[in-house]
This record gives sequence, C-alpha cells and structure tokens, in this order.
Amino acid sequence: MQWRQIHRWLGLWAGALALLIGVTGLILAFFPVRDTWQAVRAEPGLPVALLAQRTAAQVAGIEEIRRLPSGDIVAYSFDGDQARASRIDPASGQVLGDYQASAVERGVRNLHRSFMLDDPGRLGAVGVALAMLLLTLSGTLMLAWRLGGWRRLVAGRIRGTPAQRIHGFTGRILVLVLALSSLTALYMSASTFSLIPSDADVDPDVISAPGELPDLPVGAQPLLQALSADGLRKLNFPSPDDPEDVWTISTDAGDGWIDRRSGHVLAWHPASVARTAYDWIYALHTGQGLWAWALVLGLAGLCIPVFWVTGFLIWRQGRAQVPRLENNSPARRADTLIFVASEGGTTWGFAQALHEALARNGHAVHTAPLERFQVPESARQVFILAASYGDGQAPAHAARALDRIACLTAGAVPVTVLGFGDRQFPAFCGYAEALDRTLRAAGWPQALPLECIHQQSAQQFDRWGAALSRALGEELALNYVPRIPPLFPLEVVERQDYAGGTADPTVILRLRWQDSSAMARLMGRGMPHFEAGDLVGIVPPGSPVPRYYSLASGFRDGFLEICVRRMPGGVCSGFLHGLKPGDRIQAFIKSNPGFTLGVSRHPVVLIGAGTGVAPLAGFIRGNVRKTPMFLYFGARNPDEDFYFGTALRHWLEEGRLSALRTAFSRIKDGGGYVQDALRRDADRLRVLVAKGAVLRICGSRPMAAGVAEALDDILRPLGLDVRRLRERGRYAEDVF
Amino acid sequence: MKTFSIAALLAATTLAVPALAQSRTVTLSTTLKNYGGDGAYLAVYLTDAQGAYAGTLWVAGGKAKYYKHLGDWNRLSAGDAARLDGVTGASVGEGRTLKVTADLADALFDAGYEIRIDAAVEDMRDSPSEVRVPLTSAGAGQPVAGRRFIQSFTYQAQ
Amino acid sequence: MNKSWNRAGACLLAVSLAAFAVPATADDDCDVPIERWQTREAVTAMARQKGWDLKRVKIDDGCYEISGEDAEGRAFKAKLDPATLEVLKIKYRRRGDRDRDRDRDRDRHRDRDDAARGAPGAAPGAATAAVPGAPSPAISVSGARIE
Repeated sequence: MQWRQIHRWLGLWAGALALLIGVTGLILAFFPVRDTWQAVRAEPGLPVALLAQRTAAQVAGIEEIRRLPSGDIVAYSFDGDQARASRIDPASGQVLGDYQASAVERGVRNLHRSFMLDDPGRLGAVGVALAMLLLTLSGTLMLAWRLGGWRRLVAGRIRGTPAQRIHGFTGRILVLVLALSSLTALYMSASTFSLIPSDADVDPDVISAPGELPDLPVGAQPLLQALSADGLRKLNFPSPDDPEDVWTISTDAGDGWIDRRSGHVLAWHPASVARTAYDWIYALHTGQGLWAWALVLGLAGLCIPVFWVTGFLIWRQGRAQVPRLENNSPARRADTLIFVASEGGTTWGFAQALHEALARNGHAVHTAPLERFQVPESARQVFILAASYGDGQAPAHAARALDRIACLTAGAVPVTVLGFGDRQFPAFCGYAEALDRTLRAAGWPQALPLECIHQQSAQQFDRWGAALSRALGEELALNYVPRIPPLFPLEVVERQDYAGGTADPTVILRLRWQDSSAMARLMGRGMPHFEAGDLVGIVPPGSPVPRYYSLASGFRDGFLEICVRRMPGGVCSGFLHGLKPGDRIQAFIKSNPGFTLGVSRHPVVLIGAGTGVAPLAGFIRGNVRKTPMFLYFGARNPDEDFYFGTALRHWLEEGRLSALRTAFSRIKDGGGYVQDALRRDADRLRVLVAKGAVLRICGSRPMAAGVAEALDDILRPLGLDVRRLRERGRYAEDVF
Repeated sequence: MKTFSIAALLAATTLAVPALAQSRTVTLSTTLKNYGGDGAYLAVYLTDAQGAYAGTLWVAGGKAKYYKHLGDWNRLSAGDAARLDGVTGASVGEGRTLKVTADLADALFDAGYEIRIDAAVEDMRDSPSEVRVPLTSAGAGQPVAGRRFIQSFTYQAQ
Repeated sequence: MNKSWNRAGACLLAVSLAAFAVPATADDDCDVPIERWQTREAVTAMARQKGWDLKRVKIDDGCYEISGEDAEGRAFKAKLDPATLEVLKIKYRRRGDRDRDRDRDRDRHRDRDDAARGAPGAAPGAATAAVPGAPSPAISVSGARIE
C-alpha cells in the first residue's frame, strides 16, 4: 500500500501546480460553452458551395472561409491592404460583425499549457499531467480498499472527518473525467514534442490547368456541392492574381485541392487515423464543439482545489499527534519493545504512556513503528499497539508489517497485542485481530489476550494496564494524557434533578457559552458548532483525562444540554453533580460524525436506555422538519428515571416525535426492557426499515447487544440484519 | 520529386566552383506586425528562377508538428533531408524582428533567385509565401511589406 | 475544525497568487544602422574619461553593452547607444544577478551553437566552406537573432 505515500506526496507537491492548471482549465472551459451559445450555425446539410457562394457575394476580397468548432462561420478577406476577419450569417452570407479571437483565452491557455514559460513550462505541465494520472489511479485504489472492495466503490458510504468525506466523495464522481483529461493532455504533449508521429502531410504540388476558360463559379463546383458545411474546416479561395492557384478545402473527412476552371479534384487526402485521433483527443480535452462536455470539464477543474485543500487537511490531521519519546533505548539493548501501528497518531500517545510507565520501573524500552518489528536477543516482552484503519486495514506505514511478521519464526518472548478502533466501523479492530491471529498461529506466547479499545477510551486503557500489572507482577502506573483541544468556558443555567431511588441520581444540566464576535468566529476561535449526538469533553479538577458526555442539544438550540448519572466514585460525575446555576466550567467539543443525524429524508428510529436517551432527545428537539421519528425508551421506573419525560410528551404534541414506546423494567407490567418494546412493535419496525429508516442506538454495551439481537430477529423476514444496515450507514451506536 | 533532383544537380554543377570563391554576407531582417496572436512560425528560404527550392535560410519555430502550416516551404523542401540542419530557432513574437545572417554566393544574386518567407500563427491564418522578393544587388535595403503578419522585410548585402 | 479550514484557505490564496506572479520578459530596443556606429576604441576612450574600469565591451540587442567597475569601484553593466555613446541603461550588479546573466548567455550560445552545427569545425560567425548534403553549397547560414 505504498500507494498512500505516493498519493500523499504527489498530491501535496504536484497538486499545488495542478491548482493553477485546474483553475485555468475551468476558465478555458467556459469559452466553448459561450461560443456555442453565441454561434450562428449553418443549417444542417448546407452544401459548402452554397455557403461559399452566399459569402463571396457579400464579402469583397474574400480569401478563406473557416468554420469554428462552435459552428460559427468566419470569412477572412482583404479590404485593400487591410486584413479582415468577419463573422458570417450562413443563411444569407451577410457580415454579422468583426471576428476577434479572444486575447484572454489565448493568455489563459498559455498559462494552462506552459505556465507562460515556453518549453520548460510545457515540460512542467506534462509532469503535472502525469502526476494527476497517478493520483487518480492511486486514489481509486485507495478508495476501493477503504470501502472494502471494487463493488462498493460506487455505492459505499465514505466515513471519517469532513475533509476525508469530501475528498472521497469528489474523487468518486470525477475520477474518470480527471483520468481522461490527464491522458488526453499527455497525448497532445507527446504529439507536440514529436514523440507521437503526427500528420506529416505535405500539400500536393498541384496547379490549375492553364486555359482560357473562365473560373468555374463557386456555386457550381461539384466537390463543394457534394460536401456539407457540417464537416467543413476551411475553404481557401484561389488567388485572383495567380492563374495557377487552386481551391483548397479542409474537412473532417479529409483535404481536397480543386482546379479553379474545370472543377476537377486535383488531389484528395482523406483524413489519416492520426489526425482523426488527434482531433477527438483535442475535443475531449478542451470541450471545443461539445459544450455539455466542456461544462463537465469545468467542474473537474473546479474540484482540483477542493482535492488539494482536503488532501492537505487530511495530511495535517494525520500528523497531529506523534509525540517525541525520550529515553528510547536502542533495540538490541532493550528488554521491552513496543511497536506501534497508528493511523491518526493517537495510538502513539498510548504507546508513550506505556513506554514511560515501563521505563520508570527500570526497563530499557524501545518503541518504534510496527514496520521495524524485530525481537532481539535481549528482549523479554514485546507489545504491539495497533490501530485499525477504516474497515480493519493496517495503517499506511505498516502495510507490509503483517506479512513480514508472519514470516518470522516464533520465539519464546511473549508478544501481546493491544488494538484500537471504533465500534462504528463493521470491522472494528480488524487489523489488531489479524495481527493477533498471525502471532498465535505462528506460536508466539502472549502476556495478555487481545484487547480492543474503543474510541481511545482512557478508562479502558487503564483497566488494561491494571491487568498487565498483574500479569507482569509489577506495579505499572499508566499515565495516559491525551492532547486536549482548546477549551471554552461554559456557564450552568439550569439543572433538572432526578433523585433516583433504585437508579443512581441523575442531573440534566443546561449550559450556555459566551457569544463570540464575528471576527473571532472567522478566525476559528469561536465556540465550535456542534449537533445533538456529538460529545462534550469535560476535564474535571483532579484528573487530566477528559470525560465525554453525549449532547442532548445542538448549537442552534442555543444551549448545551447533557444528562449525567452520578457514578459511585466518579470524579467527573461527582464534580458535575456539585454544580449550581451560575457556576462555570471549561469544556471542548468532540465531534461524533458517525452518529450524528443530519437532515434525513427517511424516518428515524431511536432506541435508548437510561441516560442514553440524551442524544436521542437532542435529535428530536432538532427535528424542525418534523421528519417521522420513533423513540423506544427503556428505563427502570417512570417516577425515577424517565428522563426528558415532559419534553418528550411536548414534542409528541408538536409533531417532532411521531411515536413513543417505553419499557420500564422495574415495575409490574412496565414492558420489560427496550428490546421487548422493539419486539412488540416488530411489524411497524419492518415497515419503517423497508421505507429506508435510519437507526440510532444509545446506551450501555449489554443494552446495545440485546437491541442488535432483537433487531436481527425482527428484520430477518426482510432479508436484512444489523450488520448490513451498518454497512449502508443506516445503523449507528453510541455505546458507553 | 524529379524537378527537385534535377534542380539540385544543376545548382550543384553550376554553383560548385564559383561558390567557394566568392560570396557576400547577407543580413535578412523581418519585422512582424502586432497581429494579436501567439509567436509566429516563419520559414525564410530561397527559390530559383523556375520556382524550385534552392535552400532554407532559417526556420523560426521548433515544433515539427506545425511545419505543415508553412505550406509552400514544407512542400517545396520536402525532398531535402537536411533542410533543418543548424537553421532552426524559436518562434518570433508579434512586433519582434528576426535577423538572419548568411553567406550567399555571388552567383545567386541577379540570377532570378527569390527570397521567400512563409508565415503562420496558431489559430490564425497560414500565410505561405507572404513575402517574395528577388535576390538582386539593387534590391538590398528596399523594405517590402507583407499582407498578414510581416510588417516589413529588408535584406542587406555586403 | 473551522480554524484549519480558514488557514488552509489562506494558504490556497497565497499559492494561487504566487503562481500568477510570473515575471514578464524585458524588451530591449536599439535600432541604429551599422554605418553610424562608433568604434570600440571610442567606447573605451569614453569609459576612461569617466574613470571606469572596463572589463568587457560587446554588442547586444543592437546596442553596445559594457561591464566593469565604475569610479567608486562598484561593479556595473550598461547599455550604450552605439551612435552617440550615451548611457541608455545602467545596472549595478548584486549577488543574485549573476545567475540570470549566465542563463541569458547560455541561451545565446546555444542559438549560436545550433547555427554552428551546420558548419562543422568553424567558429561561430565566420564564413565557411560547403556543407556536404546541403541542397546548395552556395548557402552558409551563420545564425539568427530575435530582437
């Protein structure tokens, strides 16, 4: 998968030049459209003889008639000593006005072809065309990999940051156009540099037979009567001063030379394959004469800056967090080795924490990227921290690592794998699993079984660290400190308490932020926009690790609302429960793009339990368009933990919520668990899913598992299951 | 083809001896109009009294692909494999002047030879034989104008 | 998120503007008939009068182009009208200019070499003997220049 490197570096460097080519290409694409729109075209089938006759009658001193690709007819003549070019109305031969080739078009074209630098510039442009071809190729390969196969290339949903989504989406639409553009450009350049044999056609040495006959009038010339103006390129009149001069006609089908007196065809050169090919390639590249295609080309040119900018952002986001490791022992002297496969760079943070914890205990630790995997003599323990990319593939830099590792003979040193991934992707942790399978199959021992950490959860990492401490028999103080984005101040405006009972006490907090000036927002320093379903990260006093809470409101609602259950011994929940209206805290927004809803034309099925109802309530609150939404809410007791109860009933009346099904597990005839409510409504759910409904599930891990199982049963008659819905982007979970 | 080889033979035999003996240095200056287009391709060449090709003095413009637009020169010199040897250069922008220096044998003067210039500009007209001036001692220094792209052409001989 | 977009937008603008800032080519113009030109000795005499230390006198674009050091020891290049010897343009040399001058000289030598290739073994600018394979041994092209 070195394609990713090729794509990245070609894109960043050649892409900068391609920006210019793309923008100039966009400008150039307008000319064929404008010309065709303004053209006065000859009626189809008009014989050249007739056109020439009409024109010659109106234009004195005429020398040449040319038909432009747009269809316009131009007559070149000499008015005394003054050269003239006039646009002609082919129906009457009348002069419509002067013809002026656009200087702007010429200038932009020079810029496009050679950056106004003649031959060296042309070579540069050729280089960029080559680069673009490679970029389209590598980009297609990467997209196919990422979406999981060639068949999904067209339909698969692209996930990731906005930059990644735009990049992939635009690429998918335009890859063929851009590849074609690059290929045609390369062909034309090859022809210009004489690498491809072009028409070396030489005019035949012909003269009009001398005689005393008068010239045959153009209207009576047989070849000209037979040829149609549709295919005409140019027609040269014989010079009045030179009795031996001939008619010369050039058409799409070929070139002809005609005796001026007898009308005999003195020579006919049919258009060679090379010429026709070149003409087609020229038309495909410039869109001249094909105005609809010119628009498509313009669109492609317009999107090159989009590619470059999003590609640049993707690169920057990837580089964001690779930390520097101090006291990194050389490999051959290390007794503990840590290998990292990281896509976004976040896994390195965890590796750093592990490295430092082990180093503090006196180990000589060597940490390196996974492609440098080795087990030297001195090693006693090996760890692999591996993130999965997209749908379970290896991160770019570690592409070959798996194969290399499989080829090594197993030693006695335990190799433990810790995986990182996101459950929203179907093949969560796929790469780490593949690594683990390979290692076990080869016979490597392990200190701990494979563990997969979801969404970089620090708590999960701590738990793994505790298990590792026990396995190694030493105290490990894992100190994972994630990089925290800039914080914004928030003020508590309201709190709604649920005292609990059998459930833990819960509070719904409503917070407001300071409005920032327009200037600050332009600079990117204002409060970022968020939607229901995104997460707010709060750093409680006394712990550097942020805790995340699902947002039950959107930026447009004007406030930030979260539902916090008091966890026994919970640092952050305890802190939040102690807040009063007027208190201030610092927080940041973490987007959750796979879970947020956006505008949906399809009905929405929301399934949640306990505090998991918070983001779902946010979706309903933001449902201005009154899209049909159906909420299945599981709780224990309507008196204790019917969160957002009043608001939900209100939204039912307003129409933001179409139906509410509840299930209370701790009261008699409460309805059981939420998956029981689902089963009771199986028919309606089938209808909704058949109509294209999207599903959002929020709750605890066991609840999500139970819901998935119930839905698999319910949807089986439709031939669907949760896995397939997830692949199509219609099923997303927010699980804690 | 046949006319050309006969002419070459004639030229070789009649001119071989005196050519080595005496020649004049000629400077040909071609100034272009401001025609509003890209750089012009020019072919400056000689034809003999019968109108046959006698030699290429200069071809301005490097891409062989476009030589067919210098129609008369391309046709007349088609049999000369060495027509581009050492006599090519860059195309000439509008308003600029091309100055070619060459040594021409005395025998070429006042013998019916003509200096011809073909001109062509991309996306504009092809202008074959835009300038045709007889190569004479008296004609040196007389400016001649072309109709499409050439503002004036002069040659100096000494 | 918004911050990156804005910064990227600024970068994009800068790149596009920089790419458009293509240097224009200069256009020298000296058009004096040969018979009115003053001699090289006249040029060196004039320079000696002004206290200049001339390193080079050559003809370029129809004018005399001289280079050397002026009375205060600064390195310079100047273009002179060949008939009146008045200074049309004078430029004091800075460190970066050397490369540009080298390129121009290289191009000019290339043109001259291209012409000289047609006359093997001859120095550029000299009249030569016949070239085998040329259509007419009576023609020998020295070179061409665009002004």
